[in-house]
Amino acid sequence: MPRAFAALSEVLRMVETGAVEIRTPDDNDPALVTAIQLDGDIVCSIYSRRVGMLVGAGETLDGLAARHRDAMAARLGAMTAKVGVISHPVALLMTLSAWGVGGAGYAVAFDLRTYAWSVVVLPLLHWGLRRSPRFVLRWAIPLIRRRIARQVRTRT
Amino acid sequence: MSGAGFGAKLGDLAGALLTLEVNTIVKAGMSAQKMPETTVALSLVAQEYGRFLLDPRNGLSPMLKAGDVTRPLADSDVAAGDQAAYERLRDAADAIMLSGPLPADDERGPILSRIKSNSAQIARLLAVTDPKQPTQELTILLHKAWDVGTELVIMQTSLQVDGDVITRLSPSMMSNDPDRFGPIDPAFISLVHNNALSTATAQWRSLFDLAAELVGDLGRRLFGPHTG
Repeated sequence: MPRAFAALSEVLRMVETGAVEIRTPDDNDPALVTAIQLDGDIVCSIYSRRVGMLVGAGETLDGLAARHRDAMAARLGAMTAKVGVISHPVALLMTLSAWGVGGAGYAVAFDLRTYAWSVVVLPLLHWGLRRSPRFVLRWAIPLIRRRIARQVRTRT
Repeated sequence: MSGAGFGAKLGDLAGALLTLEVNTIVKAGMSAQKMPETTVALSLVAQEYGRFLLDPRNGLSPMLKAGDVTRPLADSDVAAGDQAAYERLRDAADAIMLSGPLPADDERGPILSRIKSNSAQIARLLAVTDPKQPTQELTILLHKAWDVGTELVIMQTSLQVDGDVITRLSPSMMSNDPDRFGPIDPAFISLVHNNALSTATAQWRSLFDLAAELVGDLGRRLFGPHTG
């Protein structure tokens, strides 16, 4: 449970600040900070005072870089997971409703699948509806009917 | 919000994903502070930009033109971090850049152009946004401005979806001065930058793989044979 709370607080932090931050070796006084922005860009900051202190205490530069790389890999692994803190459909719904349209990018805070839906699949559907609503509806309505019929058959 | 606005916003975000940029900076003698709430961050970024322009060591002498009067920029002009403050920063940086081109290897050049460009964009967004309820666009831009500040970008790599990769190095990476980065050697900076680059490309690849999988899945559901 504490892990879920930690993950949730990280999501909320990302929503508030617009980036995922990986801070090594410790969150409050880091030597290396990598900020992964919602649009994919990365800013890597090296704090020379803190690095100097760590090197003075026996840490090697290679060791520090390796720890930071592992922390980034772990964070990336969590983002790539199909289901993050909450399930994908709920995350998608929250992304599109709770934060409004402008919040689509925040989906990456939950998981990469929600993000891909937000920035690729939904814009494609939206584009299709604007270009030719009849074409999209002609395909979508039978699909929805089939889905409903299948659900009804399954239940009965 | 209109449907067109919805599509444009999502499209902008998807478009931004077609280019990735990894910037590495070295901050001397500072501790890493997390970005505070938007209103406070706006004020702090404006003050940092103001400090860079006004620092006598940088020799920039920023001026502001108000009607027919031209006067020096003051701390109080930018302290609030509101739309007017960012417009003043934009104009002051622009005036310096127009007053005479800096040499190509002058490290003040990229920082001045960053101050002008970020201030112009933030001022434009503040004209239509309440900073207490920031839009995603303002949040992303402000976070970038907060992270990079007025530091010199030591290494920068841009990757484009068509396969182009451009890496830029600050001349200080080639300098023979052993104390230019304090206890850090250029090999360490390069290692940290390359690790970030690997992370960015791995994330990028995962996103595109997943998008292809989702679009393929959607296509199969719409056009493929159904087994109802």
